[in-house]
Amino acid sequence: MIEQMRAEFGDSKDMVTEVLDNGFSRLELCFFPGMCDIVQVKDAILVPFSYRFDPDEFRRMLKTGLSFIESDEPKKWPEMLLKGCVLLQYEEKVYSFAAIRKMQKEPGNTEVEASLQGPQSSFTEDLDMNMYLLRLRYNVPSLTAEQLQKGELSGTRIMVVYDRLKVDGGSLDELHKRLDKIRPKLIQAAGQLAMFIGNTRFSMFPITLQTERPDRVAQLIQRGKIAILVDGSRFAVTLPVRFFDFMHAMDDDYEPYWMGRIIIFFRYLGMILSMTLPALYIAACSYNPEFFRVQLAFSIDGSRAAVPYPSFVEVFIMLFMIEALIESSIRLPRFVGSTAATVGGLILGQAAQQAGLVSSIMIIVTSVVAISNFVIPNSSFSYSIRALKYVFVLVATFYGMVGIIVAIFLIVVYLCHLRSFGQPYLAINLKRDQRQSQQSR
Amino acid sequence: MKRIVLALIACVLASGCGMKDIDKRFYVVTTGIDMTDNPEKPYRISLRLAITAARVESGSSRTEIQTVDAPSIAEGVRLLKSHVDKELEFGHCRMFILGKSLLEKATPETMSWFSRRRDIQMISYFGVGEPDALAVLKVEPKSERYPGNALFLSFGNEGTESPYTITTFLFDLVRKIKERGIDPILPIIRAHNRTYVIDKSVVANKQGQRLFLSAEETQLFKMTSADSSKSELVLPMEDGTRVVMYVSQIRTKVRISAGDAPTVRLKIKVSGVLEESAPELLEKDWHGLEQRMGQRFSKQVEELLVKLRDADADPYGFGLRYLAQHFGKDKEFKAWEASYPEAKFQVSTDVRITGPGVIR
Repeated sequence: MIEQMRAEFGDSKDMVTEVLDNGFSRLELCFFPGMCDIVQVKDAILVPFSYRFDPDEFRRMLKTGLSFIESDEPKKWPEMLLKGCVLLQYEEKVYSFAAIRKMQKEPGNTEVEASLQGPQSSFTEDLDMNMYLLRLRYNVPSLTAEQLQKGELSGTRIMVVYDRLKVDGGSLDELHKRLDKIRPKLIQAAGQLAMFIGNTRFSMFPITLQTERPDRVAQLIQRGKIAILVDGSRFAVTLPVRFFDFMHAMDDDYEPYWMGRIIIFFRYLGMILSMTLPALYIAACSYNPEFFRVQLAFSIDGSRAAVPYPSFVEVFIMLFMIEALIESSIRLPRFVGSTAATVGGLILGQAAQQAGLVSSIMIIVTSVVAISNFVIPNSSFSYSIRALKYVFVLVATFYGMVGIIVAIFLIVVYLCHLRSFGQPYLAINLKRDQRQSQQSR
Repeated sequence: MKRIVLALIACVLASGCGMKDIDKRFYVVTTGIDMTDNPEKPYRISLRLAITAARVESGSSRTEIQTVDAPSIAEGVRLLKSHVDKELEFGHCRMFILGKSLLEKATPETMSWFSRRRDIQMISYFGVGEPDALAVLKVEPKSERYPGNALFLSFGNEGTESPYTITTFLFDLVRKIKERGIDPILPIIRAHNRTYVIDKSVVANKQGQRLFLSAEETQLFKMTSADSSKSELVLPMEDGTRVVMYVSQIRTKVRISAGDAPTVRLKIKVSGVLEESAPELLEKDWHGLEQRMGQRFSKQVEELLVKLRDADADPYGFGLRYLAQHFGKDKEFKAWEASYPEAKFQVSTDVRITGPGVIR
């Protein structure tokens, strides 16, 4: 076996192959120490084989032990080794022992979707830990998990989890169909898988929801959705989703009802503002100045007097600056991040206006756009809104207020047309719709 | 990619030419129109243009006045465009002042320019300038923060809520000029030192006659026609003191009974607080005081109504109300027109004094 494996892995130096001989019998051992938990290997194989050796007991252990699996197909051996198993040959039989090293011993902290009073634990980059977190929150026998392996090179383990009593059959079939179709080389993150199965290239809005919160996944599964957990990613992909799921933060369910509603209302307001405000500025400045109150019109007029470029150039300058600032503060290492914010804030806040490059109102517009974009709880949705903003800006540059109104109408039409795995994207009350459609059948 | 490029090209080709930045526009804040003696160019158009500044302080408003004589208003405005460096914008012109001379000679067709232009808002205010519109335009109030703001605030309920100031919107004016059975009423704006005084009004009837109302009559009209509170009810006493009641609520009900001579009944309910009176006056005769105030008010209103009737003016819209009660055909309107000069008025006022305004 050892020679076969050595040949298979091209004599890779990080693989340990050993022939152990305790005086009574021989044991061939083959594993990657980097991928295995060496303490487990020692406790389960080395100790029983060396100083507590009893041939009968050792044989019995190999036959009955939970993590010992007899494998007589040499073709599967490399795969097992790569997953972190130990291969051992004892008395002409090959066994695999799963001593997979776990990087994560405890749940992570929520980083992207922070919550004030909700659970603070999040998924980790370990699939088994994630399954534990999910089972912990959704503790019923009907929770079904299907394991798949995707990625020709990465061989990533994928878990499709749903409640089989509540799941929507149509969506599940659609998901299986799409999962069968894809042939990715590498799957590194849940978002990548979401892109493969959600043909997002042609979609302006995400049709799957990524979340790092087990409580959100549990809540979605309870509503009949499907979750996909990807090994090595601390995000779960859930589907099918609606437009309104993206605007929902878990805190809404943990806070008093009316407070939550008010916050949700402001969140939608923030979304609309961050999408349309730069466009509205252009439209109102260049096409319909009567849109403002007279005081505001005059002060914009006064502050724009020094600005050399038309309003849309001004908007593009400021939007570029703010996008660069946001992007750099995400990518920069944490120590330098605050510098970027300070420098950027200074430029945006004061200097640009004093230099006469932009009007003072435009600075307010820019900051409102940037801040209210962060109000959106889901980051991929907020990316969508960030991108859509430019569509509006473009339309407003050419057509003014009428263009914005038509663009809003078109987006609503597009949202109505959009489907997430067979479910309507803009459904207001999905449960009621489903009930009605079942009754009519 | 091809599609995106195509869409962009389509955008560029199909876009209009309405784009003009806000700082390339000259805002007209007040428009004044007078009559000149020159029959060739009868209209004198004056525009008060705003000079904007980034920083705003009290009294910092600066404006510029441009005047031109022209054969018609539209031509005059076009002509004025060549006098200024930026595009004239009427979007924020909420005040139009007609000169007294114009009011006497103008025809309803003069008004059509205002209602036809796209950028003139139908909620702009109309008034009559005394002695002429240009004099009113030239006033620069000290307290004005934004160009033209002082006049905007005087009308409506945005700034001051004076019982003497009648507010007439463009849409209302146009409607009342066309409508049978109701006549437009316009406030008279007088320039006084560096402020405006707006306490009188003028009713223009369909025959082209103008009836000027004094300040007291204007207040009476505003109270009874628009149920305008924040006004006052006065009763002079025998001993020379005056009892003044602050009107916090007023409701007027109008009924017209048909007959050979139609009778118009106004039922007015007024309630409020005494603001000024001799001490212990209420305790002596609360109910009697209310009655006396009511009777005096009824008499005043009746006198106003008779004055309006004799001038053949109908700013209340009694004729319209009469038509609404009947079939509204031409025959009925002719009957009303014939009988209006003989119309009788019965006004009854129910005054309720809710208290002396202080707690003893």
